[in-house]
Amino acid sequence: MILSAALVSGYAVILGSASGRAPSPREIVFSAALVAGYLAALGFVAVRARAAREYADFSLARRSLPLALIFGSLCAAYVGPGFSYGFVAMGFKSGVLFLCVGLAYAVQNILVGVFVAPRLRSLSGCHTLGDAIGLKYNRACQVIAGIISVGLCVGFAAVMVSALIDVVTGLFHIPGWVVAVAAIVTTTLYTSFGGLKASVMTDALQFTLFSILMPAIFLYELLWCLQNSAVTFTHELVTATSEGFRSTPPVEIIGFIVAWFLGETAIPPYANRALATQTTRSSRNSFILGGLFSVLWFTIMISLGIVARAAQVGGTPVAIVPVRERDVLLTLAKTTMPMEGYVLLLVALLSVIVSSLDSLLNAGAVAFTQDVVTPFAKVPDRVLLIYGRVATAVIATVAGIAALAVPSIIKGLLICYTVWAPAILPALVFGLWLRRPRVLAGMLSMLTGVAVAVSLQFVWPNVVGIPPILLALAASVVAYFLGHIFGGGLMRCASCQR
Amino acid sequence: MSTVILVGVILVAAAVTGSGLWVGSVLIRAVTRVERPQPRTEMPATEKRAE
Repeated sequence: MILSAALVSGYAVILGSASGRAPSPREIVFSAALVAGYLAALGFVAVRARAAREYADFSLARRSLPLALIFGSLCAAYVGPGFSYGFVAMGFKSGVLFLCVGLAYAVQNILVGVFVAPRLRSLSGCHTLGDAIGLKYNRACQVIAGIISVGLCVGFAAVMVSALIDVVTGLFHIPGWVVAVAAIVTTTLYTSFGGLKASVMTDALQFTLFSILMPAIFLYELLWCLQNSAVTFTHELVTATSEGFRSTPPVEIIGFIVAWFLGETAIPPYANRALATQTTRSSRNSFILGGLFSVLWFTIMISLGIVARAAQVGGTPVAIVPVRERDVLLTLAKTTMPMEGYVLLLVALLSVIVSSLDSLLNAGAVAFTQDVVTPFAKVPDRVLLIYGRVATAVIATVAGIAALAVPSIIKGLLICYTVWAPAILPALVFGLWLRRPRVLAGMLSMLTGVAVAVSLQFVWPNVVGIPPILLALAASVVAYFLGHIFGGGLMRCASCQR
Repeated sequence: MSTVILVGVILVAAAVTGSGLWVGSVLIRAVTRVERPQPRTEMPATEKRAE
């Protein structure tokens, strides 16, 4: 009884500090029911997904997942903080300019669906991207790809934890470390026990939640908080877009388009989903549908940002002045929505971030086990499963610590994009499409890509004014072709040996 | 023109919601499906004889 009273009063204090006013009993009950319902649904789905009994369950869910779940999970994995409230802030600042950047991402997804995912899925016995590279080149290349994959998953997961701290601390003024520990422990628990199936099924739940809640919030703002909706919306859209094009240098726009086009191409969580589909056809379709969905999603997020420019409460215009640029969505909700709506937004944002985090943890753990452990030792299936579970926990812990060093969400994402694309893409794409890829080419391309990307990010930033991802990618492609020309007789690839 | 844009974004919002409902319905079917144990099949006559 005392504990329940303490919990209720604690919750009321948190809710009050979030909204800036004391909540009524009805608001407390309704919002607490929402949060409890969300947690209960998440727990129920995680339990129904069941604990993985074998490594094949943990890594690929036995390739038994239907198209709809893979599609939902793929979208939930890529819709993170940058693609949700990051895009709302961009819509507020520069109208539909960032929709063009988003379109690059959609095109990339569709191209991956057409050219990469089916080829990846058709490789037999592959659990990871590193596996595919190992099959096309050799074991050393698999290990290099595995190390890069694990590093990237840690980096992306750190950005997600940092975003989570940012949102919850910004909303509820709870200490950041409490948020980080709670999120990491919950996500690690269901990801390490349920493996990919738990990750995909909980992602599908999160996708369902945020793809219903965010359009609902948008329609509420559009139809109830905008006087003369159609004319005002169009006027703000035109004004913000022309401001955006005026204030953003073309080089910066090109840099964003390139980063969004290449940076997340076939990253480990997406590759795992491509490999976990039932057929090559559903692998292709899930990516194509994912690409098309991203266009719709970006449109809604950008539109929310545009609505925020002219929001009104009770017919009186209210100026949305976020303390930090990225807080537009939260400030809009705080200013215009009832407390229940504000809690709904919190649930939607938690879904967005947690779904990306669990995918990264699972993908990192599978990459570690499959690409870093198995090339060196023949390990029994039961032990591999244990390695996978422990790796999930370790990656989550390292990401939690690394989250403290993330400069900002967009910067953190850009660093990961800049390393991933040059390090893996040339070796992967040429490996999948060339008849006889050469080991030296794959190895040189991956090592050069990482070295140049890291140097341009941390040692010589902005050295020539060209986006670092482009320079590093060019270096990686050149290294690949040099390796292909000169590496014919030096090292033989796995496919040549067969 | 303004009305067309407004109707357009409302349709986009509906499409996003529709995607969520589709995935949600498949998820509900997946989590509520009861997996029955495989019925025991009659042992082949040769195995019976071997026993």
